[in-house]
Amino acid sequence: MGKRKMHLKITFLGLLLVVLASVMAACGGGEESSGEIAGLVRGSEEPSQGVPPPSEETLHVAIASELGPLDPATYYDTADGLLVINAAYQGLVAYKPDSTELVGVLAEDWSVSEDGLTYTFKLRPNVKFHSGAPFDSSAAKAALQRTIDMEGGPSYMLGEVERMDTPSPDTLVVHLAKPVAAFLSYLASPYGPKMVDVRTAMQNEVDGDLGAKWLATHDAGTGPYEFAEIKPATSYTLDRFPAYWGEEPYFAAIEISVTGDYSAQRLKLQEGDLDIMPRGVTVQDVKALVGDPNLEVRTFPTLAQALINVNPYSQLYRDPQARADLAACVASLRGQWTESLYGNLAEPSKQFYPPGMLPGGTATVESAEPAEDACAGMSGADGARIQIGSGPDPNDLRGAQLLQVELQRAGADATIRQIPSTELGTLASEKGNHRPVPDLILQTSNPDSLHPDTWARIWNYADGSIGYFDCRVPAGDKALDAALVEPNPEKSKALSVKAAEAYRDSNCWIPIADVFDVMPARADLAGYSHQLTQLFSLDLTKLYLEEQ
Amino acid sequence: MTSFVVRRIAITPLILLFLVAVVFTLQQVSPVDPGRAALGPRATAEQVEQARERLGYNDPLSTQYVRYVGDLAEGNLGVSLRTSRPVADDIRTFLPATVELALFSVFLMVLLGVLLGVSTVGHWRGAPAVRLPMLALASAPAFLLALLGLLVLYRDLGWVPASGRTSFESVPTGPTNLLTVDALLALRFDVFVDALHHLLLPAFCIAIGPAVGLGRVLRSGLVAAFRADYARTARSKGLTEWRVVWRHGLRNAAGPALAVGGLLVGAMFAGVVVVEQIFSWPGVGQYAAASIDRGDFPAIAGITLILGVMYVLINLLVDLLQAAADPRIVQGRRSAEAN
Repeated sequence: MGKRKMHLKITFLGLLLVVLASVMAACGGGEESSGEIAGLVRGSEEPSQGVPPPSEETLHVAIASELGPLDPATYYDTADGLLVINAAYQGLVAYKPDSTELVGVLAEDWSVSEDGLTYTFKLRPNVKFHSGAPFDSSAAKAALQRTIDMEGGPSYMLGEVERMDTPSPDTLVVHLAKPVAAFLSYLASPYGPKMVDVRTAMQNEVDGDLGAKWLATHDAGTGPYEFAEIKPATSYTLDRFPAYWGEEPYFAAIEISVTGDYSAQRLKLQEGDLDIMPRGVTVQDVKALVGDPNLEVRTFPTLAQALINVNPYSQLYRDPQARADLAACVASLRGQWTESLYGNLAEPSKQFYPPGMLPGGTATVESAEPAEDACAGMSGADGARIQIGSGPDPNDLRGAQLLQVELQRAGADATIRQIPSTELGTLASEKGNHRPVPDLILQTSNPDSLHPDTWARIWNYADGSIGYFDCRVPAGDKALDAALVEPNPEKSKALSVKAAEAYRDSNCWIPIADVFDVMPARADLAGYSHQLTQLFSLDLTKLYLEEQ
Repeated sequence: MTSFVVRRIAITPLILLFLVAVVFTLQQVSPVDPGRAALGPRATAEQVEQARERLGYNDPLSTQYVRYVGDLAEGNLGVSLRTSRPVADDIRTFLPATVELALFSVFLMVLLGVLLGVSTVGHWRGAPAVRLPMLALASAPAFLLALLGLLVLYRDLGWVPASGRTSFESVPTGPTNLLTVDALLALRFDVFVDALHHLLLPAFCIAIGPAVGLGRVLRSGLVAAFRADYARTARSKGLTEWRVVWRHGLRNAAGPALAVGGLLVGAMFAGVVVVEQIFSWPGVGQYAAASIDRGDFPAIAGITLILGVMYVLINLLVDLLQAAADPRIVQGRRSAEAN
């Protein structure tokens, strides 16, 4: 009896270990070092002639949490919501996939006056809103005005609009109070102003809300899909809009389901219950998925950058030399850290601004010294207490841990605190308080759009909305202001470079890596169209299934 | 008995008032700016300040507290900073799914707990086959168990669905919003079976840990009960072992098990948050997780209060059940007061 019982126990424990090991493997608890991952497919696809005719298929996509109100005039939350909004709404202009080239969407053509104050848009004819109402210049004017009046997150993009004229149904003229070099870039931002059918919104207005409550769960756009059903915390279903002005999309419907846990999303993708997983994929996940013949893992270049924000009011880093030493240490380890954190899913940052934003722009601080020398002698680090804040991305935490090791080696007592995104935002609101901790924050982020001003004005400029530590660089701000109002693109670019040099030399921001977007999907999915500016910014309306 | 019930009910509002004060204080000491939470991390400082003013967060603390308690008294839990909907409406939407999951989990907890308790006392040959897997599964955290369940039962065997409450597009939506109950009321047995199928794995993941805790307490009670004189008398009268267990052992062992069960139900809500995330269960757990991530304090406070009320009510119910199962509890208190 005793032997039998023992045998039973051993067999059971053995089985349990095997199952637990398979869970760990499935959860991505693989190797520590990232290394090169083979078999990845890179970038968006050129529009192909071989797109099959529209089908009755449904595209199944997952997001991690319920979305906030889907009114494009106020939506300024996670990029997950852009998957839904940008399938139903369109703006005047957009960027070509993975490119810095602007293309017309609801504007066929546009021109800018020499003084940079007047933008004239020639609007696309025969466009209908989902209500059936025609899209024309007065509708476009009303949509832009509503974005301004709603005072939501994206409204700052139209902050300098002085007035709008509609000389003809297909012409919209926007007059700015002062030149804004980033204006077209703002209009092309995935968060940028969308053409909302204001008449329909106003028919559903409650208590002077300009239709906001209704638009939280209904759409009034011109896009290839319209909202069909929203089940709170469960799914968002969009149906093909039959009167769409452009090419009819392949999928009859898109179902975006809420699955809070990324491991569960991965399982559903492997089982074929999901067609694509737009976010939440770790390096270990990629390694596990890349060999699956039913799947394809695609990477996209982005403007996302992992960087260290340095607190110039901290006990240690108020000393410019200490910041310079830290920058030199990071420079000597940038390649090694990028390799360790991301494998080939990122590249070490070579420019101060994210790549593509300012081609040939300002180089990052580089170090010719070996890491041991560059990091060991960081001034003031020996015996210093340093708190490293980490952003919500798991790789931010791992990056903070690598930084912690180097600071400990230099004799510092370094600790890490992972900070939720809202608390990070609060830090930015209270930056005038000049708190001495955290000393450093390591975070991955991306700009709203492609123009350098859309990055530097929120990160580096005095009072910038994500400048956590109120690091003031007057020379940089002056150059940035000049770049914004300079109508000549080349001169504007030169001023942006000058601003970047000043910001870089303050050593308040130390770039580490330029991070790619990674999306595993079923192998026969095609038609990828991705925006450089945003992580997870896939255009679902262009996807189709290749015929086998 | 009546005065015991009245006293027990009378203390409930005091507990809830204390809970309200705690929730309000937590909101004040949180490092998250509600204006920032409403507008997102990229909003400018001016926009955040305007939002704070509009939402009343710049008023004196006393004004805010009085307004908060006054609103609560009217059933107004505020407006969610994330969804822009009234929190009460959000909770009304999401609570039924969680209640259904919790009720089914409690049912499983009791079933498995009793099975474990009774089987381990009875010295039956098959007892290790029940005890060992239950102990092993209970030692794993709920999220790991959920992932393990998905891997084996969904991916490898295809026995259970991966997510959601139902696979049907069209389901009855009232009057209770508990899908299993509504399906039965609408005579949609296909939906009922499908809903049970969806409930099985998430409820099991939530229930197994508390079930083992309950089973152990029940076992201790049963062991003591079996050694008692009344059990010996029952056996000597010729009652079968099963009758001794059900008629005498379980009733006498139920008191401590009920008390622990009440506490375990509270602990189960923590498991619900994680499990709802993994199984895409559209309940308050998912709502809470998303709200915490965004620092949406009106929503967090609303959920805390509702779950707090449920916890207090469940423990009140447990106290009453205990008193009904074992009247000595009321008598004991009475004699303690008399002394």
